[in-house]
Amino acid sequence: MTLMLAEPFAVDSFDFGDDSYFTKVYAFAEGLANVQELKNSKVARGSQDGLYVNRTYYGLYAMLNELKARVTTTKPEWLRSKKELV
Amino acid sequence: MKSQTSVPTTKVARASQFVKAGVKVGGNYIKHYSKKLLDPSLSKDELHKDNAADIYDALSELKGSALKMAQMLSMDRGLLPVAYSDKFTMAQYSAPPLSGPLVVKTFKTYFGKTPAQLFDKFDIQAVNAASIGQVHLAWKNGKKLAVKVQYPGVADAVSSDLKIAKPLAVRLLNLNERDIDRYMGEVESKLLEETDYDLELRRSIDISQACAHIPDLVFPKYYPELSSKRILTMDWLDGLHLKEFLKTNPTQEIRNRIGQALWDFYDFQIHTLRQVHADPHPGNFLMRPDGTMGVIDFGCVKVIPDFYYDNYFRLVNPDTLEDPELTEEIFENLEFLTPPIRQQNGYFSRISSKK
Repeated sequence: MTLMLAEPFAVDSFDFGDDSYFTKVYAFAEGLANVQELKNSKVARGSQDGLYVNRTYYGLYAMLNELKARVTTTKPEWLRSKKELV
Repeated sequence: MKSQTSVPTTKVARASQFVKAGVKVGGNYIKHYSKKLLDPSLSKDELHKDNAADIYDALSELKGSALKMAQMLSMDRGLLPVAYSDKFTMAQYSAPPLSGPLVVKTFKTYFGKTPAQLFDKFDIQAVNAASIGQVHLAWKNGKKLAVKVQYPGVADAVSSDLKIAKPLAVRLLNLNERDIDRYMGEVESKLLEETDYDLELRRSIDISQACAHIPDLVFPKYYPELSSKRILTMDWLDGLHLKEFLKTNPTQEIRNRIGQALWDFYDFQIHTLRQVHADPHPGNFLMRPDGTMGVIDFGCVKVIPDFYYDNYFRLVNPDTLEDPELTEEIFENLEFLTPPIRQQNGYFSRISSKK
């Protein structure tokens, strides 16, 4: 999930109006929900700190999607791929 | 909207609300399966829709943490059947308001004064009902103010509500009981924080000052002398909630500007402050036609621990993902993977290949 949410971070500007991205995220989530190993797992998954952090990103992305906004995804320098610099 | 004269405050009264929902849901299943006998193609969507409506009805009478739980669930759109999240989204906007006498009583308890004595003018009809409180319009010294009044009994009821709500959540949402247990503690502590308006006042002032430099964001001024543990007073902000704002057909340029303000707001909080307004639902943002946006409600603030922050955002860097060992290590740190499961036949690579 986190990997999917990271997509906007990989580019300088992201179009949150792009519904195909959100369809992909939801489809992925649904796929995960159907993985039996996850469902039957004896251990809960994900740190409890992630609960609110992920929720925050969900909420933010959902609103940006409804706004159909294109934003410059500013981020701390260390989150950028080093490869871009080469 | 019909005012409520009391909130069911005893544990028994609140529990019976949940039982009501449970019984109705059971009935919906019977309805669903008998219909299905006649029409095997009937989808589960209709069943989900019926369930969501009944649960919402029960939860909205309860207010408090149960309603907040409904909000939490609706935030996780996409992880739930669409029928649930559609209905739960309503919880973000309105719940039946409290009657005037209860509002006055709250003021007397915390200030020893009535609202009329504290303000030049106080509108006893709530303009907006939120999950754990409602908002009144008031004036003092020529200023238009928003006064948030918390529903009585909410703080005391948080823990018992969550306990009663748990079995219902497990059963209806098809979530694993262990998963729910694990997160209950976190949710409970956040909900208790949300009922503490003293804390919210301090956080609101701190974060809005720290974010004051971000373009296009507008924060209200808060009034500590007109606030207490259960009452919070701030400047009234104009603006429309997302859905109403979109109805005014804002231009792409304005939408981009507001979107940018949102992004910058979160970028700064997460990466610089490491504490974040963790309640990004449309009810907390007031959008205006000039491309600026008011931000309210710092009731739910998540402080991000450094260890979690470092691991979580290392995953965001595309370079990390090209290093399977590092990725796996981070997944373990974040508790996505636990060692015994990791050993099970390349579990992680199968999950990630689904991407």
